[in-house]
Amino acid sequence: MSTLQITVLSFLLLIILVAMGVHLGVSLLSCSIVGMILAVGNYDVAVNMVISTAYNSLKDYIFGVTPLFILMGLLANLSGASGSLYDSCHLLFRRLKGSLGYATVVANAIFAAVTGVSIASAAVFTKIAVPQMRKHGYEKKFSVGSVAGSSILGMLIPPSVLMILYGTASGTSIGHLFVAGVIPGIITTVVFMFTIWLTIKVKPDTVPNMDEAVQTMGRKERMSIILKPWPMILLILVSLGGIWLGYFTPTEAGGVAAFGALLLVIANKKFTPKGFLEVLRNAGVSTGSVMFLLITAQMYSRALAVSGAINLVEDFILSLHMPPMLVVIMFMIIFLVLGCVLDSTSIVLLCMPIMCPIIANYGYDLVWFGIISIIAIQIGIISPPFGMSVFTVKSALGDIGSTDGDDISVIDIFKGSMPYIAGMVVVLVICIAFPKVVLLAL
Amino acid sequence: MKAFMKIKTGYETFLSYYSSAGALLIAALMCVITFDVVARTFFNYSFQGTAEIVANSIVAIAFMQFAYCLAVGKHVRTTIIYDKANEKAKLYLDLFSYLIGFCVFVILIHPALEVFLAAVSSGEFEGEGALRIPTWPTKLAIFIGYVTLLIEYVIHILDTIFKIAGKNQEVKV
Amino acid sequence: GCGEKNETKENSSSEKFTFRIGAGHVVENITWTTAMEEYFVPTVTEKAKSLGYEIEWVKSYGGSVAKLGEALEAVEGGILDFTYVNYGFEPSTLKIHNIDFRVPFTCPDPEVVSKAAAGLFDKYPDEFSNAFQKYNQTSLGIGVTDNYCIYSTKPIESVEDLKGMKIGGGASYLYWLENTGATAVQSSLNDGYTSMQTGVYDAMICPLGSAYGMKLYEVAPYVILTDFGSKMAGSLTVNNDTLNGLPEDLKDVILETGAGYTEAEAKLTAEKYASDLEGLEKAGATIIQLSDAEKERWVEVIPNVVQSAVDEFNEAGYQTIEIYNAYWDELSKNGYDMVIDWELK
Ligand code: NA
Ligand code: NA
Repeated sequence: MSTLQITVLSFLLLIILVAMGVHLGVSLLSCSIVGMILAVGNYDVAVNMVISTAYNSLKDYIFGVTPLFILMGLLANLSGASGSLYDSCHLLFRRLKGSLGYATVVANAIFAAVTGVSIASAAVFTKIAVPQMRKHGYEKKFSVGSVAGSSILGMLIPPSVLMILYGTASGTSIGHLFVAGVIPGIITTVVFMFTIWLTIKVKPDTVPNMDEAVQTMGRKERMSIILKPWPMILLILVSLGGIWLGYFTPTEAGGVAAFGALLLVIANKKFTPKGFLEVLRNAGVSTGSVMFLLITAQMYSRALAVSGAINLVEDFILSLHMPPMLVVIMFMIIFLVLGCVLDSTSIVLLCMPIMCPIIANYGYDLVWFGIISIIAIQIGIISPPFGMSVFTVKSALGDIGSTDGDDISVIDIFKGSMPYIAGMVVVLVICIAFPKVVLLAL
Repeated sequence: MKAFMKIKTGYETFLSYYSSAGALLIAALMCVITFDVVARTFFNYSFQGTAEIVANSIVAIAFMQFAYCLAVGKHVRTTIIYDKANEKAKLYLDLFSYLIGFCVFVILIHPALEVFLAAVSSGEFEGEGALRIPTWPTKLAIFIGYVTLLIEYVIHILDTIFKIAGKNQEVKV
Repeated sequence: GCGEKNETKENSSSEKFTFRIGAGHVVENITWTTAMEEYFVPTVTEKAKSLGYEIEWVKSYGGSVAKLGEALEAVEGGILDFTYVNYGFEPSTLKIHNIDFRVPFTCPDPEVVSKAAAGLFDKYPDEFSNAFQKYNQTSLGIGVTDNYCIYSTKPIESVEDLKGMKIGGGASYLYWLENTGATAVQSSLNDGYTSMQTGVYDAMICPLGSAYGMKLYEVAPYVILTDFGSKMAGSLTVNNDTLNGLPEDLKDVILETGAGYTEAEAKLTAEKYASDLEGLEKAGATIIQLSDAEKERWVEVIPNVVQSAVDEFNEAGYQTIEIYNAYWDELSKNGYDMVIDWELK
């Protein structure tokens, strides 16, 4: 069989399996076995290669980063820090109309620095922010939209499971990706705040007038609420700052930060052996589902390399003689389209083994490409018809029950998220046009 | 049917303990790393082998979770077609997905066992000197990971078949 | 399949072959892989063309098919047709191939080491070349490292300065630090930069050129020329089924070009060492040359590390002393005499 036939066949198989709802990892695994057998022409050799990949692909110090940062996020939430963070941000923006909206964005940005997955942000803030906004008379689309929209920050600001997956798929330093994600994350936060400001400007009745109770609060009481989340901020500064200053490796930062979050749980008197074990088990399960993808994705990218598919696609794209920047933009458009129907993890794992060698060949920085790709791919979590974050908000709403009886539909959440898609596109254009924004911190 | 449900519940309880054991390893890693960093920073003392311990236990931790992840539905899957399907079609899609998983792990189980046995019999190791680490424990964890996954797939397949049969009966009644 | 012969169109006269070549290392800055890309691949393609064959290469460097420790296995199974096998990653399968790593202060000149290594392979084919046959592959040529040195965060002038330092390096040569009072930390060059930046260790034993490529001098600006020596480090290998499935004339091209790899790689390594040393000076690194007297004092401090290697390899069934002496004779024949007499027994 020719390389082209093998490539087309195994890619078609992959698409069919993924679409039919076969677990993503199993789909990747099946296709790597089939692809290897076709390319090598020997069943035993192909299977042994897959076995060897399972053993070798995770056996690296850097992968300790995944369970440790997942654990840190769960512990920080258990400590009650996310709730006090939201209250603190609310008071900080008390003089602005729509203060709870700004608070949602900024609290999400800070919470993003302790969590590695966006759906965690979406679930946590649906429970904390939506009831408050509804109570104060914020429009329902605005409330849920701001939660779903700003949950994007969860994987854009480090730590980020998406960055770990990208780093693995592209062979880029995860530490560098973490550092490079900070400035685009801050820019996104600012753009989102501007998005809220603009929304309120255009439709002033989406949010109520300023909150009286907050305005009349005493200074002392106010300061104590504003300053309450300081230990969490300290934790973030130590772990991310440590990586940036080169004092910690990402894995060490994860270990120390998780330990710090545990101390926070104890200090806030939230520690129970049962609760801790529950958190550990959740961390275990989340780690398991990410690691399964890490392993199978490496098998898939090896199968692609063995079959010569990567060379084939590369030669094809080079033969088009497009300007490199046009290729980058084409890739971004592919991400946006795929984002409508696939989740972010799948997109990274399916596309990067093919795209990264091409991008590297053009001489672009793979850290930069990783960050802009993650921005484009993350738009998918709020774009219809399949939006992971939107669905998470919806199911978390079910858990808390609606505050005033009116039902919030998935469509409402998608509509409410639209302005944030526009915001993300702006950030994407900025980061493509000015790579310095991404690479400055390195 | 009752007996099957009993086996299913029993096995999934076992999986939850097995994955919890792996989760405890995460807490252990957290402690080892923190200890290492604190010792290095404040006592200028360095442990040999922290990196090796982390690298090898990460593989074990991961493989201890996979079957339980399947049991509680935490493995990532795309639901674009699934969501549009009716109840019965959903069951068939599930069955298809589980059968593919079953086939894949049937293929892998025997070579994984061979690789583990070879590591034991040849006394295979990595690294040298004080940091010589035998490879068999990790390879054993991988093999058990495949076995537990395979059994869970079998249980899911039977479960789905029973559900499909039950649905058909409902229709007849 | 591997090295498969593609059915060519009737009107085309050339027979076409596809070879999969790859390694755990990237091509940039690593002479083993650079020589594969700049010497082996183009030379084979060129010579084959003159015989009327067309070669297509599927390339996967940087571990995209096989990571550093997986190379031997990948060629054994035929996932790759050609690779570079690092002896250091095969401590239990290619034992005796690691003898050179166990000896500090050997010949600093890669071209001399390369010739001596080839001589050793010729003299002891069962121990060296044929060991690869067990893994369904043939060692075509040998790759060497450049001269090992220490990149350090603080100056090291004497062996006493090592006391209390944490020093990283590959497991097979951390033996050189025994008894010096330094703590050995097993590590690879890939982790060197961050590890020294974060203080996991203070210095690293590594080949001068590879470390220069990874900009280790940015975090460890003291480069101590200890002259640990250039080492025989690995083999360019080919899968036996691939090799034996080729027409005789093409097979000869592979064997011949593969043998030439030994010399080509060493030449590249020597050239790169010279230019990297210059680059280090330009980058403002402090270069400290360890004196011969200090080398001898170092040897007095550490136990007889070569003797412990001898005992270990003897136990595995090798005539180790004979092999060591033969290797040192080969070095001497090519113009380098061992500075230190290890008194093996
Ligand atoms: Na994050
Ligand atoms: Na979407």
